[in-house]
Amino acid sequence: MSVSSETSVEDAVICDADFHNTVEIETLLEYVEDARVERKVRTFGVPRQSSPWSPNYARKVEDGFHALGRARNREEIVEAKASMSVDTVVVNPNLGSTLSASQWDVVKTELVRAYNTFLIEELADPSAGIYGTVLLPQWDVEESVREVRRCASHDGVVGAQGYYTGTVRFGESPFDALFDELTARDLPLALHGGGYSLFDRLQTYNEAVTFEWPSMAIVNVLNMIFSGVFDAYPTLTVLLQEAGVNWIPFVANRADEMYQTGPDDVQFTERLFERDQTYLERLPSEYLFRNFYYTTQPIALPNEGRHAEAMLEMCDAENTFVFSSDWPHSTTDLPTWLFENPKVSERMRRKICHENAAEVFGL
Amino acid sequence: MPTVVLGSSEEFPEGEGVPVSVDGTEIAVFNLGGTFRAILNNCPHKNLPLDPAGSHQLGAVLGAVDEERCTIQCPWHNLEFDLESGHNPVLDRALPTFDVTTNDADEVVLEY
Ligand code: FES
Repeated sequence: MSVSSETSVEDAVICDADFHNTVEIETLLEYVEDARVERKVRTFGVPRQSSPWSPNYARKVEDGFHALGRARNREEIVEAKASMSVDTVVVNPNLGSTLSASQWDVVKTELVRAYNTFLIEELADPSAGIYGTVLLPQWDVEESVREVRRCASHDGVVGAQGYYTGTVRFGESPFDALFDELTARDLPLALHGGGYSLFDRLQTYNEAVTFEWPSMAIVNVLNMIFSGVFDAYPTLTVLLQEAGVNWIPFVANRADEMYQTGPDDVQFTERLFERDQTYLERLPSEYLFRNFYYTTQPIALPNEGRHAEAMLEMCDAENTFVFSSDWPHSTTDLPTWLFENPKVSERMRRKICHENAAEVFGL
Repeated sequence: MPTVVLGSSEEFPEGEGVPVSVDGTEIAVFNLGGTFRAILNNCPHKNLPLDPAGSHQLGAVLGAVDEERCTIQCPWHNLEFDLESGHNPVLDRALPTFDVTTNDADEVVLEY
């Protein structure tokens, strides 16, 4: 039987837009320039997340973060992507998520710089299908811009990496300096979840992982839309990673409904006030489908076929989804679902597997 | 009951799974300290293969093989299956299991 390139996992072209490489402290320290930071990190390790939740709580396995292994260098990344029949990965280190939700800004900034140097010198390699995003020290916008300027010309760097957490709001106007830089370079902003800090008094890790990241992502999506980020930067592309997708129809409809009920609200956001703009240029849902892309893991499609089909359609999956695995975490989604689910058409599969990623990252 | 010789027992390392295909059915065979067990090689969670359970890859042990309890944990998201009954308590359903023995020539033989 002949297998067309669009119907088998092995033969299809697949890009994974949320693949986690592991950076060990010793490796990182080779690139840390400040002796004080080096001493501190050598003694105390990387600043810890203030999050009370760890995937290890809910699992029988010891290490939910590394359930499928550790990819510390190019060779291990190549091996890991081959294990999933993935051709291209955009790496996003576990480290970034940790730092986004921890303390000690000066130390964190130095570690981010160190990682970015490691990324461009040792990891990113388009000929091996390894791309990366430059980590943003998002707690310091000026420094974030400097990092983009320092690293973005490397041909393996295809975007900037931030994290939606319980405390950051990407709609705030100081981020304009970053958006200026990204749009001038035609680079997307990838935003991944970081930490669990939105809700108190949860009882289980399962509650946290089911709902905290989608919630923190939605908070940031709405914050950016309603504060006019995409009126000021219509070409800015944001890739939401690991935020879930099934909320997209609800947020689209609810945000439009609310906006139409109370449109005068938006003029008092800093950016729109400054621009003397009373209303958004589009309905909130239009930005949601125009400026945002969404990585697929956790896909959590309904089992019932017609519900899955409706969900994919309501999310405009064909034009907005970008495949991701979340390798090597215990929550990994392999690309198999795209090939086994009869509700995923060949065209949709092709777009989700690699064409949308090519569009977002300019691959 | 038809039987099929799967190979010499040396081809089935202890504590690991080996994928075999018998008349189009994909089966994972596990060597639990010299005793062999076989289960349908398809985890119902996301239809992924069970045979990598217990293997060492890229600095991690994928899933687990527990000789004493005669169970495996799926290498992908760690659902646990009893290799005798095929049962998983979370999904409350059982995968088909198969009898496996060794013959006088120290070959692994599957009954199906
Ligand atoms: S595929 Fe087996 S637990 Fe997920």
